[in-house]
Amino acid sequence: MRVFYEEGSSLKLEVCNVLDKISKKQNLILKTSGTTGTPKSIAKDLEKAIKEKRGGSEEDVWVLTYDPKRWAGVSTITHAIKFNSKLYVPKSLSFVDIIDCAHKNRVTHISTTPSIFRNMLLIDKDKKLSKTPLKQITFGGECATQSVLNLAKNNFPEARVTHIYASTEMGDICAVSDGLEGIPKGKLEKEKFKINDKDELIIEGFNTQDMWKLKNDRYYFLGREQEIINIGGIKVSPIVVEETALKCGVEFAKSYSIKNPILGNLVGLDYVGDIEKEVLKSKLKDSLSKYEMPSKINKLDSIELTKAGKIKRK
Amino acid sequence: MSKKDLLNTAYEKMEEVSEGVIDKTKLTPDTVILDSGLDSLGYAQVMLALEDYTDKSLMEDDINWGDIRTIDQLVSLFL
Repeated sequence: MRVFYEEGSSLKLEVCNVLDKISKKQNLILKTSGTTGTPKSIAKDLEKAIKEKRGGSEEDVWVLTYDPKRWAGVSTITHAIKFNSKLYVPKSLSFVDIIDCAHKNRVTHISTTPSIFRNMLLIDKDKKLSKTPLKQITFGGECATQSVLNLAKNNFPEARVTHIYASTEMGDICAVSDGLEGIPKGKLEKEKFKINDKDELIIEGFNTQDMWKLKNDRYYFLGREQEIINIGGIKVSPIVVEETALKCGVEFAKSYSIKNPILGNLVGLDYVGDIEKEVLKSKLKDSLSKYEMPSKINKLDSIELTKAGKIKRK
Repeated sequence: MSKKDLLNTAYEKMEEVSEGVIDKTKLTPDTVILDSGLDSLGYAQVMLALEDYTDKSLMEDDINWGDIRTIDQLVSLFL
């Protein structure tokens, strides 16, 4: 077992707990994030999780970017265990500590959310992360849109960029490494997948409450049902608004619903970046429909993430 | 803040969200909002601008929105 801890790592206890369960062949109890309902506890069979891991080698050097109490963190640990890869555990899950750990230990593999990745690049003024010899970048936890896939490829031209669709309940569902947003139709056309008439993805009878849209032989993630912004009956995906803002030059964006007595909701947008509000507004107008257009735009220094490293949408 | 300030905020926002279809200098307190050329999305955005200006939210259920027709009636909700 090749797990290394940065001095004083606050994650050591939890990582050791996962390793202990693996060595004793015990199940690990994990909490779901609660995005599809009330958070619940789920027993994960770690032996099975390890068996299902594909693609890795002893040469790989990983850094942990996820909370080891959640599936994403456990998934990174089990992957490293299966292939006897090196796994470095940072001092904490702050962006600075992850970057320092990755840089110092010449990490080659990273599994993270698009939001954590964007934020790490934003604060990486010394370009430590960009100097890390990454060969594999795996995005999970939230939608990996084309702009984040491009950002990863532009900063790490040698790296393979993969985005995975997974959940605590179902584990890893599918992985895509062709550099394009969305999932090729064939990957979701097997018997166990079904998109119902509300555009929700059903996997083996389990409603993920994730909404997908089929376009040109690929499925595109629209967001979770409860995250879609309903403006007088017109449904707007916050992901589409955020992606458009990113294409307009902002560095990080969060779109959300603003309650309104006339239409029920309006679109709001918070962003981080150098672009001025009025310039952004004018650029957004060229790409968004009038209902998608944010009624309120705020320029911020940072946007808070959840403990799982995702945009806080509630 | 005065009623005049609120009226001016409403006029300016109406001109802005209508993208020039509405001329703010032609608006009066008695202008009927939805007859001015503003659609429901524009109306909602004017209301949001007034909420931001006054820092007051109008989600109260006891407002009968059908009775709020003119700009004067709308801004009076924020006083």
